[in-house]
Amino acid sequence: MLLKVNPNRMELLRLRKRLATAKRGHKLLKDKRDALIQEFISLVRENEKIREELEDKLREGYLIFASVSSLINPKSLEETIMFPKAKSAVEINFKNIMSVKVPNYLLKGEGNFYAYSLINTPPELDLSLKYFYELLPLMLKLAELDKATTLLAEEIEKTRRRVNALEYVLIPDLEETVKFITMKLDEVARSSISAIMRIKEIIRE
Amino acid sequence: MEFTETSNTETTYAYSVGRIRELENTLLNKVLLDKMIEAPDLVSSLNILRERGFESYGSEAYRLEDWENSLDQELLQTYKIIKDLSPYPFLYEVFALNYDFHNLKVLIKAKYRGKKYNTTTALVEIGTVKVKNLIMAIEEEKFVEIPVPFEVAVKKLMSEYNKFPDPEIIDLLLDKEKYIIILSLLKDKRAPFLEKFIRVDIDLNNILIAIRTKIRGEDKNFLRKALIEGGNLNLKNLTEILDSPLSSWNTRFAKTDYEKMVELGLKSYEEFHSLLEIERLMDNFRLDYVKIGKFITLGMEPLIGFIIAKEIDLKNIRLILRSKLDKLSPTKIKERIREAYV
Repeated sequence: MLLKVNPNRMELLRLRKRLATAKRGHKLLKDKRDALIQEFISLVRENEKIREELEDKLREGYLIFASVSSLINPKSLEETIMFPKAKSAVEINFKNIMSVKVPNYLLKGEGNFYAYSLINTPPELDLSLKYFYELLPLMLKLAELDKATTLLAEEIEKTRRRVNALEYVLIPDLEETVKFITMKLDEVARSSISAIMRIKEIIRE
Repeated sequence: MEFTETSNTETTYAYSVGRIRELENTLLNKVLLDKMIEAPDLVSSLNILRERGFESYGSEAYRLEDWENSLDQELLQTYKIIKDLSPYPFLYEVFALNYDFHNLKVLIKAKYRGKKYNTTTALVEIGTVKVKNLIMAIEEEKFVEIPVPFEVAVKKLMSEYNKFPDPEIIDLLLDKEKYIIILSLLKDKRAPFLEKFIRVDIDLNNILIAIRTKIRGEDKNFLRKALIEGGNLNLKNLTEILDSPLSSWNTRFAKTDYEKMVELGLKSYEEFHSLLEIERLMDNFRLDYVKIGKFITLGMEPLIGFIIAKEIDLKNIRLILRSKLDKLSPTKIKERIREAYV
């Protein structure tokens, strides 16, 4: 589609400059998109691996917890874990992947997570709590990867749109307009040459 | 049979034992437990219970959606019956104190955890003190409606907690206080069978506390704070063995009643890294101890046997039904099931 511009030499120079910038930008964005996709794929693979590992471990953990809950009254279980001693917090740092800020979660735990009666509670509860506590860093790692892949996917989508807009809209439009202005200017030049030749003929006669 | 000779002469228990003999028919036997275990799913296991008429005290039938509630009701009814049948209140109180202390822990933990906590789902209606009186004592610190030993225990705990605000203190201190109250309740009551049972219970708890402490990697100081006084085992010896490897512990219990149980339990732990077996053996040990109640006609033993048997029955039912929910194989369930009283 032609841009609405005046077909003059000034505009032609300006459009040629814009076209060169657009082509350079297009190449850069294409490179960025390819690098993002590469990074995204490696994150997705890592995500898949960790998810599988976590799901297996969670299945195992739930089995242990199921054997705990089969040996204790739900009311006693509620009383046992209603006032935890351990406190945990998550520290969030950010790292840069191709100008995308992705979070890095770090578990900060303090205090012992065993804070209940040692009588009237199944000993498997110790094992179960320890098991789940040790799974927390893996859960956070998965959350981190999930967030990173989501952010990268959004960025890839944005970059892809930009690349497409440049490749299929802006650059063709600019090229077409540049061509149009060039042709128009050539036509003006040709008409002025023919006018000059006509004047010269009249003078000669 | 040492108890038979001394205690099979108490005629005050004649009526109670008669009723207990009838109620013993409602307890689950091995055949029924096996049937439930072999049933293909939860619904079938529940059906077996219903067909057996296990809702023995007229409580609601075991339904798929609220079988846990049915178990609670069954326990509540059992304690009501024991309260009615006990010629002496201490017999009921010794066992009901467990639930008083459960309620105390719930209320104290809710008070100290800071955020508002709805305790109604965790409180139980069993106990020697009414729940509303316990609530008044803990929330408003008005101790007029609770017994003096409870007041002493709660005040001691509050003062300790104010010095060291550590949630663990609540459990460690109240567990000790519970047994102090139980043993003081039995003083001068001429109930050697029950007193010995409590001391065995303390021993079993102490053995498990020591093993758990070792596995957790806690130090001797923690163990000293956790062990319960009043049992037959020497607490100093129990603390000393903490440094030795768990595999050598069974030799430390040689020539005690617990030798075989500790040996088998620890062997299983070494093999499977699980304490399920020793816990099961301990429940069986308690049950074996009270099984003498089946042969006594005039004494408190049948009542005590019935309470323990019923609690183990309910534990077995919960274990089977939960395992059915988790789709555990019958073999796995059989490994965990406790012995039947009848």
